[in-house]
Amino acid sequence: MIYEGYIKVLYIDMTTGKIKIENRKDLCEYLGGVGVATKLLEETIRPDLDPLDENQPIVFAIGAASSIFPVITKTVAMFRSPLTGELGESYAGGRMALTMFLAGYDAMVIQGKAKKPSYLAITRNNVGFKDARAFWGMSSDEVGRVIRDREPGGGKRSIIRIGPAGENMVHYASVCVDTYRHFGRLGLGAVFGSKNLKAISIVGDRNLPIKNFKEYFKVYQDIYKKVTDTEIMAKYHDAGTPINIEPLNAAGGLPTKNLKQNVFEHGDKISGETFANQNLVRKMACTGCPVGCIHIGQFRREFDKGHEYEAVSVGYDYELIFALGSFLGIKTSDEVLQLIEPVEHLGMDAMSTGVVLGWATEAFAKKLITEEQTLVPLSFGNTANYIKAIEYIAAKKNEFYTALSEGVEKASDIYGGKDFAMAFSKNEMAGYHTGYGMILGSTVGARHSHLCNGGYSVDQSMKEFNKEKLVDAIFAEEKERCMLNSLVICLFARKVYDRTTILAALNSIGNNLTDEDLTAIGERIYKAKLRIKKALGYDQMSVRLPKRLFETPSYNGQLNEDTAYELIAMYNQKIEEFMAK
Amino acid sequence: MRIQISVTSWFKRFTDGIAEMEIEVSDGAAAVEAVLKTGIPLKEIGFVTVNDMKVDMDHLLHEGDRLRAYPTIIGG
Repeated sequence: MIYEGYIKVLYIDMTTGKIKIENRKDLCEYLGGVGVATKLLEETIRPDLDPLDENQPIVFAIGAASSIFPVITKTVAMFRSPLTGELGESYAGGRMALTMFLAGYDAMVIQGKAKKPSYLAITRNNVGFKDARAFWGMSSDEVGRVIRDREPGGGKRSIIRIGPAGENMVHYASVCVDTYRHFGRLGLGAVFGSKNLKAISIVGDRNLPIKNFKEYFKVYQDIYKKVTDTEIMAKYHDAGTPINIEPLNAAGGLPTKNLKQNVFEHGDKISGETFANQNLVRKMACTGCPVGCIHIGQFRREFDKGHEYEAVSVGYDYELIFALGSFLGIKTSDEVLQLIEPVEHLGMDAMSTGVVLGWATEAFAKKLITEEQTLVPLSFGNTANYIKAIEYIAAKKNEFYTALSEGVEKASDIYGGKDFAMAFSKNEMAGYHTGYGMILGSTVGARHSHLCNGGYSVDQSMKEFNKEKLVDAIFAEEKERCMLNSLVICLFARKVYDRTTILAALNSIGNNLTDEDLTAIGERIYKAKLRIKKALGYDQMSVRLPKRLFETPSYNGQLNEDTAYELIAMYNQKIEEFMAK
Repeated sequence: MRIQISVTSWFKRFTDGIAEMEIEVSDGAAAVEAVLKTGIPLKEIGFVTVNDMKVDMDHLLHEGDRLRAYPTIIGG
């Protein structure tokens, strides 16, 4: 907590309806954010129980400078992932970090299970356990609207909620945050569902004057200027991350049709420029961010005969266009938005959904599965049938869709097709077939995400492939991001927040840390994550890489399977030495 | 010699809104020389293609080549 020597943790027990608040001085050495959340997860996680057991915790945390400086806008959630069975870590923007900060909580730990569907109404002075039976079955959009009408605090409130997929415990169900933002990956929505927890409303309304305002404002202005007056962040606001489609497609790094191809013949129809010209209607920002990278696109839908149309708005970015676009062979920007919409309303991770459907499409073509199982014929480019399949996954319509709802690893365990089940340690791939950096980074990353260490970025910047340098770069970035995420900086702004800037920001609000402290914090957090992973039974040396990665050329050309496994072994060695220190 | 250059939408902010241009470079010039003439800062360049093939910036150009410049891949 700013200006206090402790981390304020709100513990909520859904079973008993009791809460407690602890001011934890011992957590300060983890700084905040992912550091504090990791430590709280380590204290409360139950390796002996299923990820969806009611006794498993959900941890939320904000950082030591959350909402006080530009682009420090995110909240971290940690949990045991039902998708991978191990470390679950996910980030979301919106208003949640600001409201937690102004409600006076650095972290929240939610355990137990409500007797009936419920939602939590959290304020500075109270936690309300409220009946959500009438909301059960509502889309994430509808329930957000209803709670907005029922709960006070508009303008100082964040509402996070699940859709039907979370209620049905789809293993990659998401949690929607204030519309258009999500805890997307690794199935936090299912953990909500396992607790009968439909939503959380947080109202933050305290006033917190800055003590040394002159110094603070100087640092604030410097950061604001870097964010707004330079090109560093401009791309994110302009056409946004969808500009990646064109270079990745030109260089052969765009996963297409379940990565049977690395180039999409209709790439220009779903490019960032196409979305900007044909669909973009609005840009939005998380609270406290002057960039505004949230792109809202619109498509027209006929809802009745006689030329009755409605305009439907959905958020889009690169990963969604990859997963529900090129990966499924979808040929137009309108159709990509048509697929994003049910994924959003049902409350699922778009990346996992797209990758799972890519596998199912190929498995169907190879006759590993039949139409009796898929209920509709799946083929690349068939938007209408994919919409039905998305609904079937969320509803766990039959045995086959129940398997799909548990991820591509599980589905391929049952039906075969492992070689083209595109996941890294059970987490469905991200949209970068860029080379060994991406493969290594996603495999060894603490949560098996491209966001753990930016492997795709290393692939792009490394002039000549060198195994040792690649392993060192991924290892260094993984540790550095542990530190960055203890502040919960939006990673889009990581080039703005270099070490000097971070120290200036923290020092201006009375948190006098050194460069060495930041290094130590990053290492402390990474070690804690690795301890959790080990306790959950994760063994890096037993991971399986889908052969498709080595059949389809990448951004950096053809990749070799033996080299990839060698890199994983090298990294594993590095980890063992790191943990022994 | 003269070569054709095209840039993606993002780069038009550096080229006065022009997406395609023909420029004069010295005989035996490398791709980097042509890119510099467009006004696009080199740090913004992810890679270039020449005649639809991804090449290094020291790739030597020939009369009539078509060079296209792409931005760096962005994300978290």
